[in-house]
Amino acid sequence: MAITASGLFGLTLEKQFIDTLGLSLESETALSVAMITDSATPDFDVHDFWSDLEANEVSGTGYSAGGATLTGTEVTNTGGLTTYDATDVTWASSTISSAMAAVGYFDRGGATTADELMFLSDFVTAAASSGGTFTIEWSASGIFTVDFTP
Amino acid sequence: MADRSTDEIRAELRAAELTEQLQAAKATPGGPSLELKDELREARRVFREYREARPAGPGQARPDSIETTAGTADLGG
Repeated sequence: MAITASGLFGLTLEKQFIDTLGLSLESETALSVAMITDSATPDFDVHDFWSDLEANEVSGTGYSAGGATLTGTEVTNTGGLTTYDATDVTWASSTISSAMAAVGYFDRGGATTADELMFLSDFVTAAASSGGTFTIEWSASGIFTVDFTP
Repeated sequence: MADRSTDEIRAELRAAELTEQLQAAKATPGGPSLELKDELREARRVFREYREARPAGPGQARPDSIETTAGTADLGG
């Protein structure tokens, strides 16, 4: 079991395209970012709710189960690319170990079996904090890009 | 950790300023303009490039943080 790549969860992307999700990627309150360990084996074709991955969530001082709200969200288009981006996510005064990926999902406030997975950002190398601020620095290319031109 | 350059600090402040404008605009009927969103995307890119280019000091360049790789979905073939 391992995390091998960043990606988008296809079933939620499909719901976005056919407008059955009813949630905006540009919401300032609807999306959460949680972190998971390398014990997870994400399946971008099959996994569709946070409950599929939450068993592998990190834990530690300063980190609450379910993660943090994603803010400063925006979708832009340029040069044949749709880019999704947001403000970097931080956990202050935290002690967190073995964080291998960030998972973005729609937090509906109820059962995690209803919280749609949106994206996973692979850290490639496990990260940790020790009584400091843990920061997820989104790539200069954004959280994800969709290349919509040939 | 290496000191942050004035340019990096300025770029971070600019991105933060535009983020606040974006969030405020989301509360308005028309929402944020495409120009504002493009400006913010560029400001974030510039800030993060400064951050990535910062020379490493002793140990890690940015302890207690992790830079992600961008997810991609190629729909164009």
